[in-house]
Amino acid sequence: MERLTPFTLHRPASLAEAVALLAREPSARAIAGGTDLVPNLRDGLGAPAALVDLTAIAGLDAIEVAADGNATIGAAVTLARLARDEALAGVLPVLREAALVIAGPGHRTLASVGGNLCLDTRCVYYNQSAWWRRANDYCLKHGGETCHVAPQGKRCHAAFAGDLAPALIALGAEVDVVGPEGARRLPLEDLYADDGAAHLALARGELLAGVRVAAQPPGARSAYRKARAARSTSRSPGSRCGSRWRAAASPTCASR
Amino acid sequence: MRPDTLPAPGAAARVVGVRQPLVDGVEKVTGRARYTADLPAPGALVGAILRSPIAHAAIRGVDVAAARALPGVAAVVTGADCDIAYGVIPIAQNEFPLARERVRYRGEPIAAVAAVDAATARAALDAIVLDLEPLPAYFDAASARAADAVPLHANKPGNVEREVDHVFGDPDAGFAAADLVREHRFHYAEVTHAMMEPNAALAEWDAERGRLTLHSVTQVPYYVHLALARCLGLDESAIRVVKPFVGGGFGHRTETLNFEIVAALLARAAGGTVKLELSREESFLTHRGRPETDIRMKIGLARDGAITAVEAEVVQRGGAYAGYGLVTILYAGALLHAIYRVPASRYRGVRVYANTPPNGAMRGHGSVDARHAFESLLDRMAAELGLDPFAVRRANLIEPPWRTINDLQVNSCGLGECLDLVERASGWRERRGRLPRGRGLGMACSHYVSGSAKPVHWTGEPHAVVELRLDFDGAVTVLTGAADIGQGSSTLIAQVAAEVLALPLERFRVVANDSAITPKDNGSYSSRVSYMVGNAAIRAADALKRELAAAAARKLEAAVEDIEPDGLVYRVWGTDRALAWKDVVLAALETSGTLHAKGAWSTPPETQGGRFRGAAVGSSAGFSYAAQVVEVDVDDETGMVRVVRVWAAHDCGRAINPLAVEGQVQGSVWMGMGQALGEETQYHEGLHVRANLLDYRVPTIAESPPIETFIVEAPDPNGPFGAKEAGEGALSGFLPALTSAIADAIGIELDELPASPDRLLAAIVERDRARKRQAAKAGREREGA
Repeated sequence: MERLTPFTLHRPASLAEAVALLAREPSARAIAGGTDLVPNLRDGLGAPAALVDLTAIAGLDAIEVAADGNATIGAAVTLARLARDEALAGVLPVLREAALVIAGPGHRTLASVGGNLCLDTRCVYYNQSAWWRRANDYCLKHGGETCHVAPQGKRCHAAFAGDLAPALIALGAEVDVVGPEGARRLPLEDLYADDGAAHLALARGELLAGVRVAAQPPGARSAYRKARAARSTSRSPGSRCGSRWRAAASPTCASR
Repeated sequence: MRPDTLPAPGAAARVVGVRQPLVDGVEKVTGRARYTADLPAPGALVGAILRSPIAHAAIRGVDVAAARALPGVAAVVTGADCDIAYGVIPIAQNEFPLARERVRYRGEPIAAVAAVDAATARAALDAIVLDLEPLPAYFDAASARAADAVPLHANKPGNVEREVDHVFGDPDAGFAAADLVREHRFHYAEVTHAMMEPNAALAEWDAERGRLTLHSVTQVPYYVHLALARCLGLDESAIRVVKPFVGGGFGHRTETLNFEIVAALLARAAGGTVKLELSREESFLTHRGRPETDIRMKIGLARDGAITAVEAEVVQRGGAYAGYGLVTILYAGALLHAIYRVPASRYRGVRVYANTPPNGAMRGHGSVDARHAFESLLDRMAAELGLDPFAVRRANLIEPPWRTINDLQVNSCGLGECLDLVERASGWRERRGRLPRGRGLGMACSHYVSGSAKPVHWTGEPHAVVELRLDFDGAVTVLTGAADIGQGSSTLIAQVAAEVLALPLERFRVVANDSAITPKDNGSYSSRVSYMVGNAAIRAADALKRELAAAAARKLEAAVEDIEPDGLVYRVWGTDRALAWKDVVLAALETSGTLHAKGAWSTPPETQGGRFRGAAVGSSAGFSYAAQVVEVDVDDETGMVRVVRVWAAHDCGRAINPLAVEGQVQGSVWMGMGQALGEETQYHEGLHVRANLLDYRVPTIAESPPIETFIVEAPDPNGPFGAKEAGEGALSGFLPALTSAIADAIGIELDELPASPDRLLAAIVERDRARKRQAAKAGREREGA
């Protein structure tokens, strides 16, 4: 891993300011915990001229559970806080289950909900050093023309490996996105496109502000399971399933 | 002094046998310990290496003009700057620190720069223009050996570095006489050490005096010293090699590594100091691991389980350069012996070149994959004969003294006791075959040398030398070239000296691995240090004790035979006359000032192996033994294997430091577990795909089972206080114990390691298909009948 290329670090106090900074500088990247972004930058996967630190934005790390059971989770909430929050565990215990399979305690104190939902896709041909990728003629996702997973095709097969997304999708979550054109709300599953090289439906300058989960139907149960080769942190995709079911009804299951 | 100046093995001890925290433990846990990258080096230039992007190519040109011209670049070196090949085995030196004429693996160093900072060094590397003409490349042994394959080394046609053909006794007669003969093929993925500390070297060139000082992560400072002299064309007296704290080696660093010579070349070219730190990826590319191996194993057993003959064929994909290659292929055959009675054997070993990073020595060197193949086949044959796995081992135990048919000398063997301990502790008899589906128990044995009885560089010198120094401050300084790489060698040497001198350990300080100060030592490899350096330390301490006793006798006006060292007091036996330690020291200093004592030791000639070509490999003055039982829980839907518990008994002759022995046994078991469960390198057209600690699947604490360790002491007559090695013997037993446990759990016998979920699932699917085919065939036959 190499040193980062020089950048300007901004620490806006408001979402509007953050959006303006991201819209202004084409290579600017948003950063909260940086647990996904920084290792990739150290591998030379991007050289942003500016990093926009979201952790000073008031209210972006709020967790609210209303009396009617509706929950909102700010994008800057850390995974550790997500797992610890008792009010949230009371209405959506599956989120604690999902959060606790992510990485280890150290990472979870930094990693954010927004960051986990917006994880970069991963691939054994992409997550390598600059030397490695150059020796392999780069790839369709970054700097090259071939997807080495499926060289005959034109699609990028880099995989999304976030754990919160399947759980939240099974719960019917929506996300709030803010950008230069204003705010919009959409079902979480619509945030994702089936393209390893462009998997997030976010325009330039847009960022995830938070997640909303409506109160669950009475009698609903949900669970999260992750199958992977090793219990410890790994960059390989593994297999994830979040599901929600109700007695006498068929389950909804989101899986990757 | 009483008779018995040297304490007999097993004699009551006050320091030996004590659970002794490592003498440098405080430095490590507080972070005060300085590893090579931590060393202060004000004004040092930053070194960086340019690595070949192509697996096999002729070098048409390396254009460094633009790089040299960059402001802040102090030096650029290429293969043109060193035309001397090096390598750890004197008869197999075909590697250059920077590639010349050809590159042979992706990642091979081809040029290097020294610059004022990392960014400039990086820019300089990017400015170097390579003109490489690709050649056909081979990534597996079979294609490298094909008739039309291009040789990687002109003097090695067919890409074979070494072929070994060893026959002892009459194997054909042995197989003919057997009641059961079985043969099976096994495949082992390549693995690597994943030591915690990435590679680094700090090279200082004194331009005014033409002298070089190198600080490095090495396990073998002496070999590095020789290689530097060779490759830089310097007299050895102009070189100083210092080993700081080292964060693990496991064999990665038991040979001079290219970056060490590169750092020195850069420092000299720049006329100053260069700090060269390798990334984790680069440390993986340096590699020197355990090769991808194919084994055909054949065993003949009598009905009672006694071995009548063994035949093995081992093919190792050695990688691009020779390194330790011929030693590794020899070990695989040699250590089929000295663990059980084997009356006849035939071994064929082939070490093959390929365009992958060179392999080297890795904990258990050469013996690990062959041990798995042997123990696995033995277990399967035992089952066919209706014999319990423990019974089969017991049917073949060695009773020392024993000379193997390949001329290895076994003078102590506690394997029987190891078997008894783990059989009992694991509840084997009560539980095996009776656990719920998915749970299983497996067992295996293993062993290892306590140092190769013949050194790599055979100069005729003693195999180990230790010096002790004692001056007015009353503290004993132990001077040793033995490389402590975290295994606790400095602690052991001090314990041994303290025991002989009957002094508290706190009176000792250990100075290790500065070639300007400490005696030469061959290095920390093949588990030689406790045995050889321990013995040398006993002799040095004994010499010092005699001098001190003589001085005390003079002062106390007593006969020297009546002087009894007793901690910080020297007493006259049978009286209450005594002299305090400080006064003993002063009395001794009166004669000629600062006290020096030296102890030297060499392996007894009868332990140095036979006279045939390659006989030295496998020979040892003492063999350690281990038996272990592994309990697993297998999920046959996901292929996940969870190790529930391990019971491991290790015969180390005498546990000089039981705390360290336990740690080493657990570490050995754990490292075997990594190879057995999930570690494997992987290459994409020769590019190392898993060159990081996430994708190269080393188990973490989350996967670590409780490992119950039992220390067995079958004292070795030649070992220091009877001690033998403790750092490698238990490793190779884990792998077959694991696959045997999986077989017990779900009936799948794996022929390939690691036992990763994908392989296990594939084996389950294949078994289910085979069963369906069988059932369909039986159905057709019934209908036909």
